[in-house]
Parts: sequence; C-alpha cells; structure tokens
Amino acid sequence: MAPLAPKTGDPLFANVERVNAELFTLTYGAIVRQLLADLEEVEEVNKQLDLMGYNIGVRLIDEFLAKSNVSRCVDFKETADIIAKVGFKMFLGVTATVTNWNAEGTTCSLVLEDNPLVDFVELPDTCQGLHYCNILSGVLRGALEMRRGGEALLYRRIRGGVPRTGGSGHGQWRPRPSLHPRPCLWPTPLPAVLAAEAGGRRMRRRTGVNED
Amino acid sequence: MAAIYSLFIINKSGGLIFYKDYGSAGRMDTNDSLRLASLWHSMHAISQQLSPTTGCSGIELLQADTFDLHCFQSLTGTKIFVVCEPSTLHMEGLLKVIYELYTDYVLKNPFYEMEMPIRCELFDVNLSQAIQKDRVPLLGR
Repeated sequence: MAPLAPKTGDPLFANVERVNAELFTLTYGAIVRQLLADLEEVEEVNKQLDLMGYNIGVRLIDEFLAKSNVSRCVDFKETADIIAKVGFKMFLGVTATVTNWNAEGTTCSLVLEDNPLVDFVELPDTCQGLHYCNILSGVLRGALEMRRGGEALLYRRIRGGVPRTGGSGHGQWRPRPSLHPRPCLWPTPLPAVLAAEAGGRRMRRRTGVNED
Repeated sequence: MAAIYSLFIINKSGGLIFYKDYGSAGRMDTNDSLRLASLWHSMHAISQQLSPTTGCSGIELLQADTFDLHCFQSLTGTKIFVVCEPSTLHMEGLLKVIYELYTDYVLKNPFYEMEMPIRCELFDVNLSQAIQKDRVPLLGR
C-alpha cells in the first residue's frame, strides 16, 4: 500500500507541526553566538556546528523517510533532487535549487535562495571564515551517511562576503574506504564525490559603508 | 480474534533495542529475545542474497502454522517486526505507524543514544495507544 512519493515537499510541509520562523532564526543565532563566546576560534565553531548538524542528521533521516515515503534513489542526481525539493521543504519550508553539476555528475551545488537561518544576519569583520550555516552541511552529512553506509566529509563554504561576487566554495565528499568498523550487512559505500554549497542571499558583510 | 504476540525493534547492527511481549504463551526472557533478534537479523540479510530476483530487500512476511511474522525494514537499516496470529490483517500499516512513532518519540529524544535500547516512556505510551487504536486486541498477560 505504498503511496507515491510526493514530488514536492509542499504537502509534507503542510502536515508537519511548524514553529515561528523568528523564534527559529533567533534560537540559531543565539547558538552561534554562544559557541563563538565559548570557543572563540572560528574554525572550532565551524567544527562544532558541523558536529551538531551531524547528530541532528542521523536522527532526522528516519523521520524524513517515515513521513515522506520516498523510495530508494536510483542515482546521485535523484538523491540531490529529493534533498532539494522534498527534504529542505519539509524541514525548513524552502526549496533549494540543484545547480553546478560537473561533467561526471558526481558533484553539485545546492543553493538556498531564501535561507531562514540567516534572516537578519550580518557577519562582522571579526568573524571572517565563519560558516554560519554549517549546521546544514552537518545535517546533510549525517543523513546521507546513514543511507549509504559510507563516511562523508562534506565541506562547504557559505557564499558570504560581497553579494553575487566573491568566493563561493565547493566541497569534497569522500567515501570511507571499505573497512567498516561496525559489522553490518549494509549497502556499499557511496562511490561518488559530492560537493554541496548553500548560500544565503542575505548574508552580507558589514563594510561600514552605507549600503542602500 | 486476531492478536499480536510480540513486537521487536532491531538496530542496524542486529542488536535488539526494543522488545514488547503481548501474549501469554511463548514469553521469552531477555537472553532469548536477544538471541532471536540477532538470528532474525542474519536471516533477513541472508535472504537478500538468496533471492532469485534482483533488488530484494529481505523477508517481509514469514508464515507458519501457529504464527505470522511481519517485518518492516527502513531504508536506514532499522527493522521492526511483529509476531502475530496467522492471517492477521493490517500489520504492514501498523509497522509503518510504529516506525513513525519511533522517529517521533525515540529519535527526537535528545537523551536517547542511537542504537541503544529504547527506554522512552512517551514511546511506550503512544505505542500502546497505537496498538489499541488499530483495534488489534491484545491477549491478556
């Protein structure tokens, strides 16, 4: 009695309980601020955010699979599409676009035009190199690791700095070599290399100049 | 009257993380249930290899004279299976509901450690409600 998997996440998003967007944004901002105060090093904060995201992702994937009824994805392109259209919509209420495919179809970019995490956020100069949304890459890493059984190092850079120009990073996704420390009869490691990048259009560096 | 005898949840490594016994006959102690869960995990995996068709995802239904065993495996490797009276209906739906309860009340509990035995009161409460709501009567303990 498996129903067809929804091609968009809209019906799913309509059915899940939602929280006030400002509360969500403010809570995340408070987390990042507190991490900066505690850890002081921008790189450490990035690592912590990624770790937090990873712990979320390993739990979130089951909920996603249970509620969305998607079946096993045939290839990596389908995986990226499902993440962008159904996954992000279901949990964040926004869809991402999948762009920037490389020739072999093993890397792509997931671009979030309207990222609720970065509403009202401006990075000060003291926080250069901070991957503000790094929790998202951790979530993706955790979620996909549960499915593929391979460890992934997902590195991504937020498109910060000057809007529409300036470095948009890319990431490397490396499969774990075939030794699996946990004996389980589970699918083969992901052979592909994935890069993901998400940018918030509203991430701006405060330049001190009146921007109109 | 169709009834559930027992419910098992196995993590992706084959360890038993949840066992609930609803029937009076065939009640098992902890060690036996652990052993049975590991056995089922192995059999499930072997069945995927033995299957003559490609893309087999393992045993979904085992029918015996005195019981049926319905098994659901999520795409993450967690298996939920229920032992019930022969020809009990709607077990697949029930397994899906239990999977959703698992994702809600177990995984979202920040103090629950992944792959560890489930000790979540909310999960127990909601599970009982779900099993009763589906109008699958329980045999008296």
